[in-house]
Amino acid sequence: MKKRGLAENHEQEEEQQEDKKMKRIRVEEEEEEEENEEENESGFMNLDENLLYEVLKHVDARTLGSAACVSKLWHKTVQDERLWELICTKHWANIGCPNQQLRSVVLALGGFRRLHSLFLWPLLKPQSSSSSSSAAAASASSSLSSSSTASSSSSSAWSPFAPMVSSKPPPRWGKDEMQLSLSLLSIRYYEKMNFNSRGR
Amino acid sequence: MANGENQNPNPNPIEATPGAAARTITLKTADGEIFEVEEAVAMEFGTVKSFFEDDAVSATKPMPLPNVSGSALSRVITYCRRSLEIRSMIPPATSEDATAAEAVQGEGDLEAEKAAKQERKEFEAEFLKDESNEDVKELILAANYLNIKELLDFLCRSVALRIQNKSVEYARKFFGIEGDYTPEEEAQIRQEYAWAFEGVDED
Repeated sequence: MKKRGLAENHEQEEEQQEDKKMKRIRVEEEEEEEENEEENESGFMNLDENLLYEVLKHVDARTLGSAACVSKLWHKTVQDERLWELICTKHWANIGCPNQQLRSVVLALGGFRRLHSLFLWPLLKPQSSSSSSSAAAASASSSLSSSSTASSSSSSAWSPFAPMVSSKPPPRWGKDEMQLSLSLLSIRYYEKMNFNSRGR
Repeated sequence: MANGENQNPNPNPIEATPGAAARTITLKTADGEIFEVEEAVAMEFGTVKSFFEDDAVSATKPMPLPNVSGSALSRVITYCRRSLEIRSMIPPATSEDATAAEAVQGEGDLEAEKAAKQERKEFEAEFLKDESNEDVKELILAANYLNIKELLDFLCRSVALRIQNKSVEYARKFFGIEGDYTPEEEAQIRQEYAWAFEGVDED
């Protein structure tokens, strides 16, 4: 039998109510697995998923990424979109729209985790030279599909960024940068959609 | 009235004692240690608070805390006491001094807040300075069980700092978990998160 303090149950209830929308993104099977795994883990000294989530809320992006490799439980926790939402919005000073709205848009287009690793991280990490920043830009644009018009327009969208990034990465982004990254995310999403439905 | 803090484990629930002698609540840890805690401090523990809200009479019996050890509880109590002290440095919002200049009062509050923040920072830095990773983990579990939001938040932040930019192996060692991936799976995941591994500190 699981020994659970009142505290944990309350915490769980609150979290569940807040994040029902988020959890729908995760496969339902995973939620059941969650419960089983918690039972199997040698209880006392191991942080369970909820506590792990609480800790990971405060780490930076890179640590979160390497945390995914620690174990299967950690990997599952790291997949949680809420953690990546925190990471993404940390950099956005003034979103200009309510969080809930942003959340539903980003989740529909593929989620915060993708947004971050594909479009935020390559721009945020400090670049030592403009050559490496264009390399980052090239890799980011190649992650978009191979449709010729789209990639040419996206690579031209990247080049103005190269000189800006090599000088100094802005610590906090404003609406423009945020909207750019969202646009890129949606381009990627729709390209994938088109690609699939385009019968040859 | 006997204002015994440690001698009188049986505070009179019927008569309200005046402010000076605080009611104490008795807590019993998993390893059988008994703690007498001022009510104000004990009410910081969400678990204790709801326990006593449900059944005020049982203020006489020690409340069992089967998931918390004596050493952890003593640290937790230290933290909560200090935290309460620091919080009381900030004058309450609804002040009795009906002075004309609200602005002056506001400034005073701001100063007090700043001072309190500074105290808190110093206290928190000291608090975890000599704690081993095991101790910190134990504290987290205790804070979670006792439902102390502030302490839990602080501890999670500290742990996050400790594993920040460290290697995967370090994180595993810290939490005492074994990686359960096969070498192929691990390689695949590292590939997926390759961007996270550029330029990680050595432990």
